[in-house]
Amino acid sequence: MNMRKWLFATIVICIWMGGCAKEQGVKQQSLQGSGFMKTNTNGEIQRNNINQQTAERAVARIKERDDIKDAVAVNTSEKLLVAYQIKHMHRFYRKQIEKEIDQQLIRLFPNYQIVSSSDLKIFWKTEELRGKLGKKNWNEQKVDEQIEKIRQLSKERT
Amino acid sequence: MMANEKRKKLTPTQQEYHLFEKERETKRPVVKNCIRAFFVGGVICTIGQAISYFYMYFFDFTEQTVGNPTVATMIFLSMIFTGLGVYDRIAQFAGAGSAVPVTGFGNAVISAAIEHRTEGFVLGVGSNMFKLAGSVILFGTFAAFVVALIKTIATQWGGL
Repeated sequence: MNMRKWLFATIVICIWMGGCAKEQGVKQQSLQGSGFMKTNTNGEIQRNNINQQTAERAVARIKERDDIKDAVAVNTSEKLLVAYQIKHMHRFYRKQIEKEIDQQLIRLFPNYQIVSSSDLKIFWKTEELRGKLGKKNWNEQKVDEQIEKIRQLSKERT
Repeated sequence: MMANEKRKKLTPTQQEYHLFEKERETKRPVVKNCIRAFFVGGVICTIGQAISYFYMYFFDFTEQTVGNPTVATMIFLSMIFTGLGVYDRIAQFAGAGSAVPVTGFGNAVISAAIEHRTEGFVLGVGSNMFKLAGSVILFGTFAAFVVALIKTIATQWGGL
């Protein structure tokens, strides 16, 4: 009887957790065509690599701080997306650190529209976007759209 | 203080008995209970953290927004385990470690519902379900109200 109870509980949890996971098929479908290369009319491969120097500079400056564990950034010609992780015990001063970093970034990169966040999810998303930049040859507009999506996610409160 | 004053009114025989009793009664294992509560409570919180990472990794929840689905999931799980009779055993072992986290809330709701099941669905389960959890909701809401009031006053007029 006891065994059956445990089995029932395990099955319920498995089904319920599994039901929430994204379906593999949907995932694969959205990746279709991503391996294609865009070509110019003369047959050359289009290279849309966006210069990431600004992002690298921003990361270097943020990592200088001793309350930051890790940082990652992506930039286009207008936007700069920066995400960082605050060290564990320093998280008590999270708001203050965020404010300081925001001010620092605005001072350093006045020509950019800056999106910065210490949220772990935003960090993961930014890292993912940076990885895609290298692989997918996205143009700037597409990257801008992605940054805007991440910005909206970071603003969400409920 | 109070107890001492009361004891003065006792007869000498009663006082003697009181001391006799005090020597022999079983001691409450406070330290042991604390350690158990600490570890079981910690395990429950670790599970909660894992669930919130799960939601953040597989869905579009941020650290800001992941709290709601995590709390809902934890309460749901503890309700299922209460229904299966597993949570009671954990609670017996851990005491406050299983009652203080939000899972204790789910346990309080479901155990009251189970207890009054025999009295019918409307007057039994329906009216007794929040017998224990009702006070949690009431004082939780009230405490939140007071804290919000203090914060509003401090930020609006206190210049914090």
